[in-house]
Amino acid sequence: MSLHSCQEHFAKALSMSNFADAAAWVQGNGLEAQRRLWLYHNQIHDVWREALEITYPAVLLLTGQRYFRLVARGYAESYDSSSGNLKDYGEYFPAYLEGRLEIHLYPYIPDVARLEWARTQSMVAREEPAIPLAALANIEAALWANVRCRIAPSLHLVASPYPIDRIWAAAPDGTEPKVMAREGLLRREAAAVAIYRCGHAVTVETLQPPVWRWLLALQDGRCLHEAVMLACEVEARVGMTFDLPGSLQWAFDRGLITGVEIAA
Amino acid sequence: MAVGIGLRTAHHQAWKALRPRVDFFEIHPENYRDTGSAAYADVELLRRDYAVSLHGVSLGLGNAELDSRALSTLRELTARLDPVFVSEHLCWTAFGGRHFNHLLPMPFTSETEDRLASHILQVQDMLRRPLLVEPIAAYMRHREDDLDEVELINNLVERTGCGILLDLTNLHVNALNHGEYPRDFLERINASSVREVHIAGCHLNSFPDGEMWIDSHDSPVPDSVWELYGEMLSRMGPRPTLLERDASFPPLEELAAEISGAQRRMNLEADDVFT
Repeated sequence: MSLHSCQEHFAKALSMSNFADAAAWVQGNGLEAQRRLWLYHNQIHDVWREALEITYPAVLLLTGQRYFRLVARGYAESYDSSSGNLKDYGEYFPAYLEGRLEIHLYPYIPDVARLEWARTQSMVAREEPAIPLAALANIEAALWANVRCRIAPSLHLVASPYPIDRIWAAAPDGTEPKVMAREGLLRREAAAVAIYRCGHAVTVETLQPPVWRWLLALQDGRCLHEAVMLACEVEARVGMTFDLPGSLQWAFDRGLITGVEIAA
Repeated sequence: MAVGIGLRTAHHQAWKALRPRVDFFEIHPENYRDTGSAAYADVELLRRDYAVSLHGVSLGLGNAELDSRALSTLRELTARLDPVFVSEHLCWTAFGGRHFNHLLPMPFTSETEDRLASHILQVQDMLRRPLLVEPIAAYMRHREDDLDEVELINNLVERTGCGILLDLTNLHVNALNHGEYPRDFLERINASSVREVHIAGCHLNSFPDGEMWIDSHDSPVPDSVWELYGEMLSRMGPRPTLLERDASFPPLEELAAEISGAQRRMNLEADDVFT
């Protein structure tokens, strides 16, 4: 049997959990050949589940170990691991959770997972030196509308129709979904969240929807004027005032702006 | 002779406070792929006071092709950190684009030897330094095997000039799981190419049809591995030795105390040489 065939047999057995022909190519040496492959199969699934547990601790706490094991197994069967690096393993987990039928009982969980994935990504994002608000002073006031901001790579923006910020913050205390429901945590109340890193610490901060929309537009490469227009659209919809100077101050203070340029 | 500990996330802050008396820390390059991250900044800080070794788990020396992202991470970290050792496992990790995130055993054949040799040379050409290769703990052997493991490793050393990272716990676990003889392995392996030694904990899993020793890295090094360590010392002499712990983490000071056992044994061996 060629090396290619050996690995193909092995890979197929592991992927399909089918070890029927194991004895044909695995030495028994005192233990059934199938048992030996099962051991690899189980270890691989354990490693994948542990990777998800590390990335999604709040989802684990909210769903409980038993359910988490079930969805981790389902995720492994639905999505191939496409990277040798376990840090990449859980990328599609929020989408997978969303597709599970029983999730309608806990509809906020996929968005909590999105927040956690963003948090992990923020933690490993490239550090770029921030610039001070004074950098804007070097730009002629007439050109401000055309300013494009470079945003810190660690910034991630997540929005949800559920208060995922409060649910996520309550999860480590072991607050059960039932208690959250009683305390009104789970009522439909949208959350717009910014996740960013400052030094070693990742911050999860709730934003007013117009500020969140403005920041998202800047992150998408829109110039300041366009971003403000988009924020004002949200402002009209949610009845909250968008404060441009205050928002700029906030973003610069947190080191979220790492460069400015004038759009052509 | 140097001793070290594997630096894992659990001890990322502890080393700064404790400053353990070890000579080097081992890191998995995969954990520091993003060199702008806070975790990597910690490693640069660590590098000011300690030597660092890079121990990869995802290059896939036995895959049809090396993992290009792992390769570029290894190149970048080698250039930035000037590690004391760069090592990888003799195993495969992916097939047809599907990754298993596990160290999977190769059949011991001349085709395997050719593939491993070609990939080791590719890595060494890129890094411009020898790679240390680690024989893995395996829970199965292939029926296709027509070389034995020692023969294959010695051939690789001869063909590529690579070094060997000898993990004594792997040797112990393989011996118990496959009825092999670790002392025979120590006697026949190209001793002058063994540049580093790993030791770790392991445990026994029982099944209805038998037992299997697992290279779990979740407990202190067992006496049987320390005995093998003594055997290795008397055959090869002192070698830089690293304690691996990847689960059920004790405080860092406990790991430092545990690896000092290797230093004591190496000192005794050195004394023996001169008396």
